[in-house]
Amino acid sequence: MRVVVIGAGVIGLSTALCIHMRHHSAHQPLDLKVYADRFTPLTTTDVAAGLWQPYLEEHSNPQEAEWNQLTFDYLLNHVHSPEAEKMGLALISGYNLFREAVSDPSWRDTVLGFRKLTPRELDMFPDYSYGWFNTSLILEGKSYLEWLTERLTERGVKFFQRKVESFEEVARGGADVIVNCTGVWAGALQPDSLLQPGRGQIIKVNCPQMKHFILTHDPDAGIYKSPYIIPGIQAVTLGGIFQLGNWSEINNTQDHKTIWEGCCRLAPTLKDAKIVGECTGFRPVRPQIRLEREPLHFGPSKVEVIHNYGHGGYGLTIHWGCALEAAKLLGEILEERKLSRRPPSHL
Amino acid sequence: MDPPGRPVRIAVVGAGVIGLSTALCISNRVPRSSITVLSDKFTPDTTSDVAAGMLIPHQFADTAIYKQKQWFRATFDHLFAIANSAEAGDAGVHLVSGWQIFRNLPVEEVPFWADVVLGFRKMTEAELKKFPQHVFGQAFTTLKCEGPTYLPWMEKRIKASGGLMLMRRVEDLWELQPSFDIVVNCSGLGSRELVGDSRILPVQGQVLKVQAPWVKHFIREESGLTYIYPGASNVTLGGTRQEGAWELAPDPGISRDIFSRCCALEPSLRGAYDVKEKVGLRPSRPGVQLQKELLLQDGRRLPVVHHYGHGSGGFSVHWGTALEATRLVSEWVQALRTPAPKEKL
Repeated sequence: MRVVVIGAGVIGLSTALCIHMRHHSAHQPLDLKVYADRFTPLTTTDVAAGLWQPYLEEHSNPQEAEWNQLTFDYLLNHVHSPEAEKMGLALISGYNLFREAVSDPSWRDTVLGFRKLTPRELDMFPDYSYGWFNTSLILEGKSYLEWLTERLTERGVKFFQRKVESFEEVARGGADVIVNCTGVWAGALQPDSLLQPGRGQIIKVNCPQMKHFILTHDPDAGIYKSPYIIPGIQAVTLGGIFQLGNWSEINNTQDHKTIWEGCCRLAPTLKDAKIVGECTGFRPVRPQIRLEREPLHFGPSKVEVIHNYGHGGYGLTIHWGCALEAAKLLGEILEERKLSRRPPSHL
Repeated sequence: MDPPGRPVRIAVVGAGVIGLSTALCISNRVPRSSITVLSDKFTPDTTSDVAAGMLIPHQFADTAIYKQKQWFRATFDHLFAIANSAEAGDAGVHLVSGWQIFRNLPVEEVPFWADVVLGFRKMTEAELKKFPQHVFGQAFTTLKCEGPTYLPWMEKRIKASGGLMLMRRVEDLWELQPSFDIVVNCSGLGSRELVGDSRILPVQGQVLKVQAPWVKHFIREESGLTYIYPGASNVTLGGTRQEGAWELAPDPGISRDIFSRCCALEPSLRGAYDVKEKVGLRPSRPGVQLQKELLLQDGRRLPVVHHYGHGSGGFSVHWGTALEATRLVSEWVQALRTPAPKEKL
């Protein structure tokens, strides 16, 4: 069975690993390749801060809540392994701030130690009057992608730097299954009016005394449009930009100012922090993730596509649950192939 | 009789967290005073530079709980304001959250300082899964005050208000007379020799300072013998408590033991790098010596305020006790500025 995964961000690489772990065996080898035009550190995943936290509102697809939980549990199990540091994985606690009381999120029991903020804690944030404290996880995109690449390489999975122009070209190249993890650029392979870029810009600073994440929420502005501070393993990510439909990949000066002022207001200690990086990425925004099979025919060639894209700003948060689902879909395909190859029964 | 309006000359002996915070507090609150800090050691060579600087109080046997709580609260509030200001990075003060864990149910589930720190609560079952050997835990957010950054920041502020730093070993408080009007003795363990206080003893502590920037939470095991305290520039791993030991050279066998105890609590520490060993001598006493004393010798008088003996609780209560020491200094200043009655003292 020849499988090609298109895309080498967190979705592509984790799906590839999950598929290989589940379906590759000595007597049933899987020929798995990864094609991508961008690899770390140039993927959207590399720009993400990597904090595990789903959106506050219910996802329109209830399965997504399960996938988020599966991912958290999977990562929590690894947080003590010797691999954790190489994966870019660590426990982190912090604050979610609101201007008015809100109901608890559906993931309150997934994270650890979820509670409301006390009045003295809220005193630290004069612009906000309500909030939560909980312990979650960070999974730094760049480290995680490097780790995934190592695990895949160990397993003999090959990587190819190429820009795929169509599913057909990959099918004609001999693939039986294509796993489409092309993220925000999925529309180039198959138009999808539901998929849009949610442009984000972030500033990376050195501020090692910041040990907590601080996420603010402004229901009028919308998700990711309010300042956020997320410490990583080495640097701290400052953000608060979300522009639907904006494809500009260059760092914008006004956005820089918005982020900087918003975050310094939240945490005055940042004012002297040294800036060590700034980047832009496009969250692959979609009303819900497209995670489904699609058989395609190109003349006599038939290929099964497993779509796995549209994870918005919660790709790292949900990735493993989706990878497991994609592996399940591949399992179905393998089962169907086996059945279709069996000699007809003699009943 | 001193000319009216002459600034009162105050000598502070000792330049650890106690000496410097007292000097700073005096400079802020005692008008018309000139301050000189004298010490044989300054940062980064003081005991305060070895300590992690976590605000988790030590219990003093000889001091009423309400007083200890008052000192802790005053210190916490003072540092909390700094942590939330633009000065935080320069001062080396920041918030840190974490867990205090117990292998056996503690007698006291809620310590006296629970409402001074932030968000104090019992750990949930899910949180305790991280520590399979432990049956109970407390989660809270407190402050860390890093000696190697905090001390220089205080020195800078003392100098900015006209204070002087003098590197000099004071062998006898009388050396400071008549150059100074009041002496504040913050010499910590040095008081054993300097003022003959046999109640103060070293409790030697060894620590490791390592790089492990992925550790964002503190972990402290009940008795406080094993701890992991992440800071701005490194993570402090501890520790030991050897009463009566004066040795300042680290012991590699002890380092291995500390490292192994900490890795048992936080396995990811196995990846720690740039390990440095340090030893400090906690200036231990059943209670903090915080009182006035008038020294008399051959007709000379030297008003003294003693402010030492904080053991392992120096950082946790330093500002609270500095405020009290400053009040005592003000009382001396008041006495000095009041014309003496006719009868001899």
